[in-house]
Amino acid sequence: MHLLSLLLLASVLLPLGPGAWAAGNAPLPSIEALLQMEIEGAARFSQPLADAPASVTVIPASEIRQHAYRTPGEALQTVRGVYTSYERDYSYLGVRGFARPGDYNTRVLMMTDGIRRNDPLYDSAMIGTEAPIEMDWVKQIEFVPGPASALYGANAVFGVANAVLWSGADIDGHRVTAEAGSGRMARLAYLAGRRHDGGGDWLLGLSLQGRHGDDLYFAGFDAPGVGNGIAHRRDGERTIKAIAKFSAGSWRFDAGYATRYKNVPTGYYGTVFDAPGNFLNDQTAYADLGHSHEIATALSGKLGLRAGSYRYDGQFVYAPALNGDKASANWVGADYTLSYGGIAGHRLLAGIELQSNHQLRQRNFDIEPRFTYFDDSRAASSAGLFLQDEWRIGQRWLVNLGLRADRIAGFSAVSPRAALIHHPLPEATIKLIYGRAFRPPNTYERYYNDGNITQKANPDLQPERNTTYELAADYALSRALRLSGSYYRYRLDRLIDQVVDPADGTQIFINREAVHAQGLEVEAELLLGSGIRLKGSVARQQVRQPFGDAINSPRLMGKLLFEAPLFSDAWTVGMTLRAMDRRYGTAGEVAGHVVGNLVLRRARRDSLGSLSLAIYNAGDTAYFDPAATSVAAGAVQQDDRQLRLIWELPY
Amino acid sequence: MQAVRAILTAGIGLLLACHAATATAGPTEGEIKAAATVNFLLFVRWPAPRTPDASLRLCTLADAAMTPELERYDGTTVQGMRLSLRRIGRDLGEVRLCDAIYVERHNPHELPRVVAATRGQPILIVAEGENALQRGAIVALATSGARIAFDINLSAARAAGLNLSAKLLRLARSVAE
Repeated sequence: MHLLSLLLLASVLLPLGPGAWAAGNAPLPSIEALLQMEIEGAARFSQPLADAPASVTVIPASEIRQHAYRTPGEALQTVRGVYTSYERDYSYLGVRGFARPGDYNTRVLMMTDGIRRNDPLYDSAMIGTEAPIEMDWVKQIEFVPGPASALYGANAVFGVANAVLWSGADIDGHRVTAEAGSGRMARLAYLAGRRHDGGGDWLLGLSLQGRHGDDLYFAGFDAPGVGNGIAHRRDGERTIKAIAKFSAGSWRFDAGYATRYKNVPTGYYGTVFDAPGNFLNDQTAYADLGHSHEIATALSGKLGLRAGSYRYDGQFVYAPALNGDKASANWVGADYTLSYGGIAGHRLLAGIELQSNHQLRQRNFDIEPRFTYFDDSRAASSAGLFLQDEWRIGQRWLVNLGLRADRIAGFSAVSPRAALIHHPLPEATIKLIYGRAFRPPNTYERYYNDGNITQKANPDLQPERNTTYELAADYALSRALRLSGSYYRYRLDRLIDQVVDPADGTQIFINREAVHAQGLEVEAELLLGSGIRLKGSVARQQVRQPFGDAINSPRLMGKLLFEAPLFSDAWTVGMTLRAMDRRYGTAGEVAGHVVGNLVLRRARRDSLGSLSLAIYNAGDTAYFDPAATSVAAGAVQQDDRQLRLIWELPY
Repeated sequence: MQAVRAILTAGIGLLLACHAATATAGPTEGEIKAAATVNFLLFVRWPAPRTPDASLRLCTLADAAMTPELERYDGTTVQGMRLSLRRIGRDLGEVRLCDAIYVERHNPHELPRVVAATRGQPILIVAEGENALQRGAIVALATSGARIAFDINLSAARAAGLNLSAKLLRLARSVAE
């Protein structure tokens, strides 16, 4: 397929030779000449995610490796106030006290290299093994909490996560990674890239992973007449992921493909427990083209074209029949952004974004005997227009004003954002933010029904609107210590929530009455000599809703991250610890927990490569995450101690 | 799926076309910024010779991506001194040994710590980003469209005991007092 042609391309491009700027004592161009040179390459497309350090978290590749984060969700789990829940089907992200069961991470915008990756059918940010990227393609993950619809449109309600991926210049060669671990897990990955002085930067990556999974115990299925509660190796998964990135001159191109096949052991949706054949297959494919150009002095434009495809294929085993659940989404989009720096003290950004989801299809049917309960196909389009000004006032103040108007599937939204940033000292930042964000109901929430057996539609759903006020501060006391904190309040109108209709026991999404929440987060980071690093955070939040207790909303969360060299310079140890308060689940309270990971790493030695031994849930803690109503028990037990050996050879 | 394939094919075709039309090598942002940074060193006067071996030490932080581009100038003669590139640890313990330090913008938490660590010392802080001056840099390197531009904070330079030549101030996009 195209994968093969890309790999053939790699073998052709690799040997291509050296170029204009020789190593060693290079001639130094004059400043006058440098100011006239035009930048080539992908860097022209990058845009920093945050206007100030306050509240932003950056997780660089060195940290990803030191703690052996396996998925974007695992990395985001170390961010203050952020938590994940895993139901053995998908991973769910909670930010600012929100992680609603049945919601596929619709309130966080996920991007790779600054391009939106939430699919247009579920609006989901895929952060687990189903994510479209592998962690060894990541140069850094950036997370900024808070409303960002003023710039990015729908779904940027509680935060934006951007995974900046490597470019060929960063890799400059090849890398092979081999992993083996608990649950009979193995992974093989290859990454290659190079920047050619002749103009051209390319990156290719391929990753294959499989895991058989362990025997898992589910108390709810341990009953006479039912069974002993053990799902025998029904938690396996396989992933294949590929990426290709090219940039040359003022063009950039990237494409990706990911497929994950996962068995689900929980007996969810009333399926037969411990039966083979309960699986989910998620496939994503995307291709983007970008061009950046100078229009006039200090005025530049960027054009982006993108196409994407998402396929979901689920099989559910019921006693009388095998049920198939499928969805597919195809989309194309275009965007144009203008950047103007001609007015002293101002940096203006204006843009338009268009997307056509020309196919949004959902189906539910019994495979044997063939019977279709539901087959819905529709198209939708969206358009967004935004304007932003970053206004530097003197040496100490910065005002960031943004406004975006969106029209999505018949809904309109206007999202303003205003931020006032002050530096009492250069190394201190105080930020005051007001923002409105929205998220429209997605096609799944509005229209999905499986013959009204477990779920029914609600076409009258309205978009959620969120209004947030936030005060954040960041201060580097010394070279060793940084302190950070934020206080926020928000109001969420017309929250889209999944409930069980008491009349017929089916799940349905409805708009709720207003929800109010406030939270306080503090963080400290200490960097001592000889590579010792300690980062701790505490997040306290409270969600108040007039319709019962907030599900999966911990009032208190603590995080600790530790890195230190061990023995000599060669080995380092990394440890993460997370403390989670008890949470309400859909079927009762879920106990709190403290869980830690430990990673021992021997950094790269040229001929031998680097080796990491990762112990996830090092304390072998038994802990649960709240689950959606599809899981009768209302909670799913998480993995016990898991080991993984990771070997990486760059050459 | 068709659209994905279409753009995929377009991209491959584009790459091949670009390769066929090689022509002059375009410099990357890193190469231009690295050359600019070394240039800045030509226009700065430090209060007193800080090293016995007459070397000018330019530091980058451990994770810095631009280090290879800067390393090309290692050994170059700057103002009669030998330019020496040093990679210092994230904890900035060795920052006192630097004459100049380059701070990238990919992690906004680095610059405040560098500023806190170099208070009152004659160390030239060159940082990337539009708002780097407000956050303590002496020279801020930004991109204006497809070109670079730099801004200078003169009072920060004076506070550090550094003297910047008039020529540099003339070429700057803006000079803050």
